[in-house]
Amino acid sequence: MKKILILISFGFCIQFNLTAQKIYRTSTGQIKFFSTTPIEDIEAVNNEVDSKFSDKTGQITFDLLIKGFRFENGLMQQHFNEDYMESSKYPKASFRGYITNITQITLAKEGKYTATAEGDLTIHGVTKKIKVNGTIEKNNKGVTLKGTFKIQLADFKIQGDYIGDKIAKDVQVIVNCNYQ
Amino acid sequence: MKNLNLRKIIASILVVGAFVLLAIWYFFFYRPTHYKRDVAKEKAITISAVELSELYASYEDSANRLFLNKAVEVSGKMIFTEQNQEGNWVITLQGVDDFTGVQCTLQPQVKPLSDSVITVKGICTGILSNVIIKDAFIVEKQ
Repeated sequence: MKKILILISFGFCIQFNLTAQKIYRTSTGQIKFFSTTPIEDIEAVNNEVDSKFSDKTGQITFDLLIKGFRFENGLMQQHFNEDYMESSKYPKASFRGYITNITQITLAKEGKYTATAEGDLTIHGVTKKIKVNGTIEKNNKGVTLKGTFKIQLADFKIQGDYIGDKIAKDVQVIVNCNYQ
Repeated sequence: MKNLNLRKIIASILVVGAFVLLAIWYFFFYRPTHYKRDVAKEKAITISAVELSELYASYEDSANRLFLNKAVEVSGKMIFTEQNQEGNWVITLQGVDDFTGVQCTLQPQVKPLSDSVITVKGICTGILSNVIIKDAFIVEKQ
């Protein structure tokens, strides 16, 4: 009887491990940010975001280079890197976390799902826990992850003369990544 | 006669003043906010994709001191191409190993060539999984 129970348990273990996880990746993900004030609207885009996630554990990572952000206004881009983000000192921003409802998301077939990610966001050398709501969609082109959240610049010790004036104290971040 | 000379002087001062104000507006207000970096006009550091990726993989801080935000002209074997969300072509050049290549985002309207070995000029922004080059264009063979 014991042997039978052990064999049955072993069989269950093999069954769960046979469904291998897939790691979805992109190195051309897109992240934009917007700052809106009555004086000026500022927008920048980064199209070289590196991201991976596991469809089994929900583990998800984002990495980007601060100097990869592109502005319409060249002077603004220069000030962004030199005065506000100090990108020579803190060249990267990253997110390490989990899609907490990954078990409710089936990427084996086409469909669109709401997704929630929680984890550590590191910008300007400062790490903060954040929670982001978004969507994951599987279609014939691949998997697309979208999400929007706001960050307070002061939380990441980002300082400068025009924050609160031409630059909003909080900025909106928009994530749009296509994975293979 | 005296009135005519005075009028001429005042008119001249007004014209010169207008030019000065225009120059101040252009150099201090218009030009700074409309300046866009043109990497084609910059002198670039010439390096192979293998060397660039090896330096970054081994000594990231030192490599950033040498290449970060600088114009680079990188040569290598094209191993992957794709289009990003804005429709710009992205080329990956073979690096020092299978995990570290040189990823080059081309400028709008620039398309990758069919040649397998190419030279790309752009701005180096650092390393993630690959060394990243942005605002790039393909250097034509001479």
